Amino acid sequence: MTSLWALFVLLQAAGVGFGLLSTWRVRNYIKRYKFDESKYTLLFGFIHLHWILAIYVMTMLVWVAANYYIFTLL
Amino acid sequence: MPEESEKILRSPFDIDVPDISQAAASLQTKPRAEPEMEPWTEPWAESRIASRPEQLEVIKHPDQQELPGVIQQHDVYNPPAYIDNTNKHFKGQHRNEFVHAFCRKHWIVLIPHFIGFAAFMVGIAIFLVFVSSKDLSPLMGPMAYKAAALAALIALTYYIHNFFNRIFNYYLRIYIITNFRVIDLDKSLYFTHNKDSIDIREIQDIVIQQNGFFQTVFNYGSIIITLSSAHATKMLTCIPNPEYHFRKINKTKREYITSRREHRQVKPLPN
Repeated sequence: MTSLWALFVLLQAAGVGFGLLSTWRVRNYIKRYKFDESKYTLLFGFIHLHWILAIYVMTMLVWVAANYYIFTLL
Repeated sequence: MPEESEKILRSPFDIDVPDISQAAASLQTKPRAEPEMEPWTEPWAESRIASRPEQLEVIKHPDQQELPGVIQQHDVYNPPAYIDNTNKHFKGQHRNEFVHAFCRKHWIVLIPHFIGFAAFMVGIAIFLVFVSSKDLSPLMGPMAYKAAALAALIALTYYIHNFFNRIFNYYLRIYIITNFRVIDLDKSLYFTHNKDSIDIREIQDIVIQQNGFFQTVFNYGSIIITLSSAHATKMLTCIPNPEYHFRKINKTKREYITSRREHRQVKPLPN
């Protein structure tokens, strides 16, 4: 494994770790306070934030796979 | 003399105590009432709230004063089993504080980030489809090309995380109007946790500003609050539906003044 590959793996690990930390912090914040607005608001509720969190995790994983694909093609 | 002997045998400390075992058992099995909060009063939610028939039964302590416009949010006889913030709407909420309205910044503040993200995705797609390493081989060697690609991936990874973190920060930044104050809760996921609280009695004047095409079409603007102390001002920017929040603050201020007058009213002396 070359140094570039080591850097690549480090980058992906850091990216996934940061994403998981962000997800954990947001979920903690939602659970800590009673922002129970999902029942009443249509546009600005944290219910949408759960969807955004799911999209974030999915994007993170897809991005790691795409990075691997791009890097191996080069 | 059976009665007298009984009296002699009983000690003076024997008192007829009613059997409380059943009452104690019923108290033990009685489930703790969960503290409930008043629902949000967003403009689009009022019809839903009106259609909800269930009412909260709150036992009030006799010493608790009933103030107009104040809702007791805690059941003093059945406090929550554990103390945390799930019975609050935000950190630092006072005991008798009731949330009249809350809002975030208008969604239009996210549009530049979405446009940037879309441009970034399109750029990657174009690069993958039309540019290959053979095209760039005259410009740089394979190792240099790989290093440049890695640097680009680092930048793009940072951009993706930054984009989502901006969305999270958008959700965490909240303006809250309560019966006591107007709060600007400026929180971000990692770096910021500022809270600016304006006491209702400090508010001297409120001004709405909606200037420009986008602000009038998408109905957002700024609310400028002038405080009584040294004419300081506080500007709440990109407020959605500013007219509604303007009326809410005015109504809260009026309720506060009315309740203060009622409590200050001196009763006439009895003859």
